Amino acid sequence: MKEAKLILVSGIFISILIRGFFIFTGLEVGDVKNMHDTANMLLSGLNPYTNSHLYPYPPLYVFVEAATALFTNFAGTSFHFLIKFWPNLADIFITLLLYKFLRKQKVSPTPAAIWSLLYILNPVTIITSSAHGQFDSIVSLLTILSIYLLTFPSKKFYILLSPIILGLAISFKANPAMILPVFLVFGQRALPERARFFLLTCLTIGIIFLPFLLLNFNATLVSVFGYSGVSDFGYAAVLRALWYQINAEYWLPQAEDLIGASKLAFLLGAALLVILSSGKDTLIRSCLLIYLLFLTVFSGQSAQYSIWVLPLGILLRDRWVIAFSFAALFAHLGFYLFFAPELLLGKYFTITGGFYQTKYMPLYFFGNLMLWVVTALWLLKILKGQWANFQAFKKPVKSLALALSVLFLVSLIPVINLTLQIIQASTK
Amino acid sequence: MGFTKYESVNGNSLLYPFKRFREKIFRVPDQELFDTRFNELIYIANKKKTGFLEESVSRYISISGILMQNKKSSVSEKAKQNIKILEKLRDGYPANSLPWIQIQKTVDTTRRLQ
Repeated sequence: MKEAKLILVSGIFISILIRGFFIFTGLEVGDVKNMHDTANMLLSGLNPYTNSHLYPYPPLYVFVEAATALFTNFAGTSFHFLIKFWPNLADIFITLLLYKFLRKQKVSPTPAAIWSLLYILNPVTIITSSAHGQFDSIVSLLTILSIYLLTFPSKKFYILLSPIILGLAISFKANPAMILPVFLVFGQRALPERARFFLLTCLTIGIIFLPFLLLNFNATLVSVFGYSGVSDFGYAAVLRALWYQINAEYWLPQAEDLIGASKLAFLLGAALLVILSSGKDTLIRSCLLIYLLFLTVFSGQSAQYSIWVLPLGILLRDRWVIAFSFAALFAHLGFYLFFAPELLLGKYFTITGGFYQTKYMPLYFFGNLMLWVVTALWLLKILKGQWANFQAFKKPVKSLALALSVLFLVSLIPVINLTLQIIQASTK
Repeated sequence: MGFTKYESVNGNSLLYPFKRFREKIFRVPDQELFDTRFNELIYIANKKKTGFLEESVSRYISISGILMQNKKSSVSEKAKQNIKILEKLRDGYPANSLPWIQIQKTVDTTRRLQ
């Protein structure tokens, strides 16, 4: 036990040192710059959602940004330095929560500590929170906490707290909304209990959205729900790199069509996975499956989405998380070195030779190709185990699952068609 | 003529860094590199892949500079042939356009090899 705690504390300390380097050498650029502009708008009494494309996320983090901006003025320091404190703090809490969760799952202290460190020392989480300054780790922390409370409801109010915390997570970033149905069908609970979970989650989100909706109803909805993502990662990145060979153009002309087609395919696939998860006590595995399906099928991905699956994979002690992290590291390096070296290396970014250097495109291509292959294989591996549940279903559920499987496969046809067209045009 | 065929891997290819790595590992002679860079430049200019032209031009000028420093008289005849082809390529673009200027740079550099 003592040894495990020593390992845990040492790992966190080393991670803080590495993260410190990225934070201290960072610049106020990219998303962090947008966060500062958003905070300034709110502090000026304006709804940040009226400036389209500035802030495509739900509103809760806006308050964190505004508080950070106020404190920045008070302390006379840089905004980019302080705003990165929150996601990195969340990473530390995730590590501690993972350790506690694994111990509850009867994992021995030392292996539990080592598995937990796989998160905090993971280059992907370090790059996302410390270099890029994205706050997906806060969302992951609340999601894992919600799962924990529902899995180990040692006190009665934990059952009420779990949906509220999930609602808070969705109010930071919308991605846990795609796993909400899994929470609803999880376990052997009565219908009123499931309905209460849904209502409490929605109520939390509603309360947080309300002031912004009252100010500018349309602008708020368009900013949050009109955002479909960018084709920076996954197979769209592979296609972008292939397209780049034609004449050094790094925007994929068919990106919007691909996002539209892949969104439908993902929704149908996710509905199928929810049915396969219904009534089973495999909440973590089901959440992981939905996220892996998203990363495999949907084409509008950003770099920071990679961290969503890490805590879930660690909780399952699935060794695929190591292969995933390895592939994601190469994909991240390729992405940042080519598109945004200033986000990765801060004030030292000029050592890369500047923006859009062709020499980094192969790293972006092979990194993302490897990441997509690993993600797809991981998905298939878990799905294979989950498919055994299928035999136990009643006939109507079986029929529905089969119908959704067919629809999902049909919805993949336009995605595959567009993909093949892009490959053909890029390689002729 | 100085140009016989395109290179199988050119500056626009995702496999290009592997080609450059192989050249460094096997210490390919400068004269051979000069021909390779020239062939790559022809491919990029002929296929109108102007987004890669600046890098191809830089690489060609770089190896030309190395040959100039080493005073390789054997490239003089090759340089003459290259100039003829480069001038033809240059004239495929509107006068004083960016690609025209970039190819003109290679003509000027190659002249110094004669």
